[in-house]
Amino acid sequence: MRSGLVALSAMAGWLAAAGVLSAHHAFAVEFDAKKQVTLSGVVTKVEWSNPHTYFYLDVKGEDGSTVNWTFETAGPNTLAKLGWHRKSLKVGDQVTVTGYRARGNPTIASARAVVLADGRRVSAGSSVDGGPLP
Amino acid sequence: MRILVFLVLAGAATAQAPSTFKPKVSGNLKQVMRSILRPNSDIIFDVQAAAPKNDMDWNTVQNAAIALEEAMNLVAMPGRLREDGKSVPVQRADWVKYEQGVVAAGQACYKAAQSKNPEAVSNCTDQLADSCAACHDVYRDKPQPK
Repeated sequence: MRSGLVALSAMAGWLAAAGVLSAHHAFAVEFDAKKQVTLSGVVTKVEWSNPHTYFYLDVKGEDGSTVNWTFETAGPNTLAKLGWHRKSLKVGDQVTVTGYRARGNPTIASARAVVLADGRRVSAGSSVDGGPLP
Repeated sequence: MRILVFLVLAGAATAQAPSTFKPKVSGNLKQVMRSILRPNSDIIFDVQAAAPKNDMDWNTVQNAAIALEEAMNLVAMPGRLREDGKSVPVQRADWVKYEQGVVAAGQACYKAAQSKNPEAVSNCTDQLADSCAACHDVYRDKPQPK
């Protein structure tokens, strides 16, 4: 019994490290389609992963402080169909993102459209139908 | 006498036992998705962020892949309803294709997990994510006809 508990605990540790509760979710559970946000900033990190790709953006506020935002997009394959490739978004790029705020975190959003460093405007594969890209 | 008592008891037990187990649905499609498909797909997706550390972890990933495959049997069970009370469209050709896509992804991820190679599992997540997204695009994210 004790060994079983130890095993379960170890497995839970691995799953927790992997962030198992957050990977796969419906849009409406995590984000609010009524709360749109548009932000410009510098890319600090990109994680190409399934089922969502994430990128992080340093955004300067009016008071001069910098806030690091997290943006969720579709997975790599879907992004590829939308015209993205692995070099579309690089650390240091200046981009502008339009998306929808997360329900539970003020610095997380689902990206809907991104103006890339080369000026291209691309969809980020948000599952919300918000009409034509802004 | 003992034989007679045994036969009587055995007969009673036989009469009470159901002849066969008859599967019946309990949850709707959304509940099956949230209780089986989502947590198990998350286990596979999360290998991208944190590689399993030992055989027990790899067994968990293998089991998750099996769960995805088997869940398609549950989804297709007669009587399975969607959250809105409508039947799951198991007769539609596109639906069948989407189900087969998840089964194939589950098989690919099971094979990848057996290899205990995080890169192989990460690669199978493309197939898994695509199979999920293909169905979600049509049946979850777009308004359904009344």
